[in-house]
This record gives sequence, C-alpha cells and structure tokens, in this order.
Amino acid sequence: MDALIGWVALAVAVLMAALILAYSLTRRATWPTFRHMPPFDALAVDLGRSVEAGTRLHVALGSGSLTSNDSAASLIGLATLSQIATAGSVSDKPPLATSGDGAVALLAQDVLRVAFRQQRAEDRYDPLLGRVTGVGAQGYAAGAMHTAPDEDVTATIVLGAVGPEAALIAESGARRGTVIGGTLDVQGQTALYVTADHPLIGEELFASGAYLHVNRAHAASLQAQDILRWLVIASIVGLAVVRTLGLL
Amino acid sequence: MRFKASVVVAILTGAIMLLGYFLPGIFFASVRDVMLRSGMIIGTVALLLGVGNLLQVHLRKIREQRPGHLYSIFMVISLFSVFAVVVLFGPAHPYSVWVVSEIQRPLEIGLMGLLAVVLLLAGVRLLFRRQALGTLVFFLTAFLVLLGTAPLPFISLPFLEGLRNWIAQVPAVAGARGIILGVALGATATGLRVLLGFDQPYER
Repeated sequence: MDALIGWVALAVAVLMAALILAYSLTRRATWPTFRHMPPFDALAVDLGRSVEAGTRLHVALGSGSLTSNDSAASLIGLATLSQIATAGSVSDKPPLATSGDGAVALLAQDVLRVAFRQQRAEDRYDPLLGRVTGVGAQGYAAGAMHTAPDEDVTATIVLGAVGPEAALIAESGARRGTVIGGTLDVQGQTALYVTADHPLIGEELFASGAYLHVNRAHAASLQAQDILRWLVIASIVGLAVVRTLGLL
Repeated sequence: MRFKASVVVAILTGAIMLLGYFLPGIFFASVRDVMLRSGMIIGTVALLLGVGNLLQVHLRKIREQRPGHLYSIFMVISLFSVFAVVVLFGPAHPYSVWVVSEIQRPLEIGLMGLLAVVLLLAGVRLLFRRQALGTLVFFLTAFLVLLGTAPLPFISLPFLEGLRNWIAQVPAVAGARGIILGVALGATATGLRVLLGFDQPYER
C-alpha cells in the first residue's frame, strides 16, 4: 500500500468512525439544530405553494450516472426528491424529476412511486414524472431547459451532477419562478451562483438531506462532516505554520 | 435497524469495492473488476430504458398536440434515423462518425455559445437582483478577469494581465480547493452512509 492510499484509507476510517459516533448520538437525541440556510427555507415555501396553488416543481438531477465520480450528487438529489415528492404528491401538479442518465431516471421513478404510495395516491402516479430529457451533459440541458415552460413549472430545483450547462436550466426556470441550485462541479456552482435565486455553494448540497429531515443518518452525516471540516482546516493551518517556521 | 437481504448485499458489495481499492492482491481487485463491469452493463441497459422513456415523453407530447410538438416530431425522426444508421453500419463507420462530428458536436458547441450569452446577461441581472457584498466582489472579479483576457483595441494594460493571472492562480485556486475539500468530505460521507446501511436509496 503506497503512502497516498494509506492516507486516504485513514481519512475514510476517521470519517466512518465520526459518522457512526454521530449517528448513535443523534438516534437518542432530538433533531439537531443547524445554522440558518435561506435556500432550504425557500424550498419549503415553494413546496407549500405548490401544494396549495396546484403548481409544479421541477427537480433537475443532472446528467451524472451512478457509476461515475459524481454519483454522490445524484444520490443527494434523489434523497431531496423523496422529501419533495412525499409532500408534493397531493398537489394537482405533482413534482417532476429529470435526468440525463437512465439508471438515475429509474430511481427517480421509484422515489416518486413510493411517495405516491405513502400518500395513498397510487392511482395518480405517472411513470413519466421521472424522465430522461437527453443523454449527455448538453443533451440533458437542452431537454431539461424546456421542462419549465412545457410543464408549467413554478420552481426549479437543480440538485445533482451538472456542469456549467446548469445555467441554461436555471435561466429557463427563472423565467417561470424560483430557482434553487447546487452541484459538485465548481464551474457548475459558478453558473448557478449567477443564475439561481438561491445557490448552494460547495458542500451545502450535502446538507439538503439534514435540512429536509430525510432521516437521522443525514443529520449525523452533516455533523460528522462539520467536525472533520474543522479538523482539516486546523491541519492545513497547522502545517502552514510549521512549514513557515521551517520545522518541516 | 432491521436488516434485509438487499441491505446486506449492498453493504457487502460496497465493502468489497472499497477493500479492492485499499488492499493489494488479486482477489479483491478481480472481484471489484467483475462488479464494475456488471455495473456498467446494467447502466447501459438502464440507458436504453432511459431512451425509451425519452421517446414516450415526446410521443405523448405529439399525441396530445402540446405546444412545441413539432420539435418532438423532429426529435423522434432524428432518434430513429441515428439509431438506424448506427445499427446498420456500426458505431465506427464513417456515416456514424459523420453524424456525431457534423451534427451532434456543432449543436453542442452552439449550446455552449448560448451558455456564454446566458451567463453574461444573468451576471448583469445579478447585480440588481441580489445586492450583497459577495455579488459585488463576484462582478468586479469577473469584470477584471474579462478585461485582462480580452484583447483591447488601441491600448495595452499589462498590469491587468498580471492581475488576471494572480486572481486565477491565488484566490480562485484557494477558493476552488476549499470547495473541493468540502465536496470530497460530503461525497465520502454520502458513500459511507450507503455502505454502512444508514441510508438505503435501493430499499423502500
């Protein structure tokens, strides 16, 4: 095992230990309180408006596949879709999920189907609420940008593996209503910072599960990430000081 | 926690994949390769299902005569034409390559060109829409970087090029690395949550 893989293994082991510890603590305690984040407040407002006014929400899951490096973003998007679909399935116009990958679209259909079943509204479930709008980054964006005008969407939530082409989806969504957006891709984040009403920067994307109360594992995960982020910051600053003093 | 067969399979699969990456030796690596190949085959089948789903969406749009259904007709014709060319001649045949290089690629480049215009307009609108210090810093940085990159007529401003390089190499890289570190932590935690069975996107 070379040194780099050893360090990665150590980091994964530390994160795993922190996650197990946080999960066991969170299971016994009340739901932890996190700092205020406007994008999730806006999402709750849009969700409420969608149910009351019978308008549609569009969840854009991106073009990333489950076997690629950015699969985590797709999983977070699906977890968020699960919460949105549970609340929105009673709306006259239930939420719609788009993807550029077949497997993610299948999972999105499953998430939506379960949400309808939980709300005892299986007869209203339409498999095409989870759909592929195009294959590949540009193909997906070209199809997804027409979703807002075609489906009478009033809020667009871009949460998944999308690059700078997210701007096209967000811009089209912004003409019809609110846009909330987050992605792993740095260029995609820049594009969403400019075009979305409520951009999620960096790891804020991973906080969505905890803020939307998906399950306690998401809250524990967010706490473990917060602790480790401070550890990483302390390590970087410490190493910089040691290096500056010529001790390393 | 009530463990089910699917949870056990998911945890075991994830553990083998992770061990295959960390531990040297043939066993874990070969099992990991088999799983990865299987995953790719399943992903490809899912892609075909996805294309079927895309076709269904557009056929419904045509059937219900929704606004823009003419584009859907064009899309369905294109889908079957390209499918026929690739199936009849093979993916490496000049006809198939021509479809990609002469039709798909230029369209994608055109879309990226559109993206530049969209970002420019959205950037200007951002100044009025979200009045905050961050927005001002973002806009000024973008403006300086553009000035330092674009060839300006009649004047030469070498300090702008230096400033652009400094912005690109110091604060931009520092910020991007910070974001990437946070994202890496979040992505690993998401994977571990599934691996430990805390989160079960496959079991509902």
